[in-house]
Amino acid sequence: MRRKMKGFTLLEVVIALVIVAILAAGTLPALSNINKQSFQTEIDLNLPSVGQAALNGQSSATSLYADLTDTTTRSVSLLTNELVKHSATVSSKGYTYAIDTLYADVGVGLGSLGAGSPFEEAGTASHEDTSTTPVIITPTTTHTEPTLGIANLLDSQVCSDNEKPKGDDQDKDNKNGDDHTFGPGYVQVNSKGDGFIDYGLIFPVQSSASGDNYVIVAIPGNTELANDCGHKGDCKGVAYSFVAFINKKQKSAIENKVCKPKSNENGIAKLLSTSTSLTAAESGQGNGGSYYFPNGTASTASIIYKYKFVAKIEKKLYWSMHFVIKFMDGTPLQNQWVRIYIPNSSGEVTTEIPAVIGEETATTTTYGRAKIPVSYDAPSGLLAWDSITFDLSENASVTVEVVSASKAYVFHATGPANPLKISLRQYNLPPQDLSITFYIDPIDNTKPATINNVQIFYWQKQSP
Amino acid sequence: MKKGIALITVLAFVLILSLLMVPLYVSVLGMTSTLRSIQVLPAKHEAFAAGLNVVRVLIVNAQDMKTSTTIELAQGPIVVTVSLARSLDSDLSLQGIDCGDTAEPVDKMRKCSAVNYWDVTVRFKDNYVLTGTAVQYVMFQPDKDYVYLLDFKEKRE
Repeated sequence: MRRKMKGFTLLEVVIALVIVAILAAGTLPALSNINKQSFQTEIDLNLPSVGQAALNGQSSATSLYADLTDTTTRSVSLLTNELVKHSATVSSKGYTYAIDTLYADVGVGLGSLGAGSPFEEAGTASHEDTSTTPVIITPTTTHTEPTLGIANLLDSQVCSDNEKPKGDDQDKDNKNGDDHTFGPGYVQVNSKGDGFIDYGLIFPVQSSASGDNYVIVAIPGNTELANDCGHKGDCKGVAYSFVAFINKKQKSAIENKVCKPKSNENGIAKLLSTSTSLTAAESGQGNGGSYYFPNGTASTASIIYKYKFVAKIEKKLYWSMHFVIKFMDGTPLQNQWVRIYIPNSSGEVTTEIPAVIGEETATTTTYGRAKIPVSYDAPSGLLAWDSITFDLSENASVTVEVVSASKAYVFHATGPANPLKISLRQYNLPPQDLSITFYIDPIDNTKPATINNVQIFYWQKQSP
Repeated sequence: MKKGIALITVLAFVLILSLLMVPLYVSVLGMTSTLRSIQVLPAKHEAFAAGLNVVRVLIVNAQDMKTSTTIELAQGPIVVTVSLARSLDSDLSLQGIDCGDTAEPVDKMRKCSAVNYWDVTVRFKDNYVLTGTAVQYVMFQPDKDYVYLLDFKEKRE
């Protein structure tokens, strides 16, 4: 009789292995995350401790713990209720942890209660706050005019001079040529008194967050038909004052294009004219992009008309514009111009564009940061620096850097505060020469910001 | 006779395995809880340290027998409450006001030389509470008070 085989058949083993494999496959996603999870756990545990160390350790911890975290920052700010807030933020691999603590020197003993007093051994600690001569920091805001830097203009040229044929030594209309000047946020092309502009500019234009890319052209409403716009070859049948433009993504593609955009092969905008029936709110389209006429008519020479030129394709960052503009006879010299408002670094034109001739001469006054260093020599018998007080005006944001020997602390506060007190006692600054630097920033840069009546208080041994 | 394993045997086996897993589960749970607790320690410690500084500010500037404030910190809000528990006259120099029976309680607390005992509570994120006593030595003028913090301990709510 044939003996019966014991054990599993191959099929059974295979089936068992398949079942085990299927079950194991279910755990793979969890296993694949183990590394990530353990790293996350490590970060979760490390960052709070690193933050706490940064909070209490160093005055400036930007580069501390570089082996543990990507960035560590620490700041000090003054709260209104005599509290000093110390903040630390640490980041690692996209995870950020922030931690604060508060200090106050009020209610802290300084010498008179005996035990634990740091000055007890000196035996002659003074209770009197002794003040140096007040330092008055008068308003020292800087006055700046925001201007479009020349570096932003890649090229410029009087076009008719460039294009005139041999033997024609003087352009018929553009006798004086043109030039350009800079104002707050704009470039202005001037006719130089001949009532005619034929000028080309190349400049970069920033894109806004939404990706729009545009410039705004402002021109007084006193242009007329330009039957002969400079040299005849320039106009190519366009019998209006006009602005022709092209834009490119690459700087190299436009560098030799000054004065080149001058025909319908590019975007070309006919300007409103008092001598034509061109209607307002008209818009046009060219290869370079679209442009929009302003609402209204050009019948009023005193009104400044604004044209918005938008790149056809977003993020065409380099523009060439060619202006061919004839002004009405008798137009005053100061009104013979065209302005190009170029967006700022955020891609937006924020400069206020005047609506009427005459207003455009208004200047904008802005106030920038003021930096005032102040030094104090350590007085004889100095025990400790106590505090700094000063009056902080409305609209002022001040950062105070205090350095004594190798110890440095930075404080930040906003006004108004009269007076504002920075207590130094809690920091145990060495009793040596003190160097203080005030950085004052206006919160609203159109208004001034000041600090004054700076006083330093310290403790010194009483004279025997 | 049927061969194989009885259902009751399988169930018992599963039950035994489950019971064996319980200590493991408890251990993992304990470790997770410990890690979470360690993670919150720096935030809690700094919040309490900040709270004790706020205590001094509140006491030195107190205009009432009980005062409270909430301050937002990066790690969460702290609520600091101080209430006057007991006030004793001091033999230290007095200010030039009448600190006798006619003085208003707040004036007496603020301006007369005295020793004041305050009950203090620092609450962090509603979960962690620190309680203790602050002793205020009122000296010669309000901003020269000294505040000592005593017997602070944490209680979990």
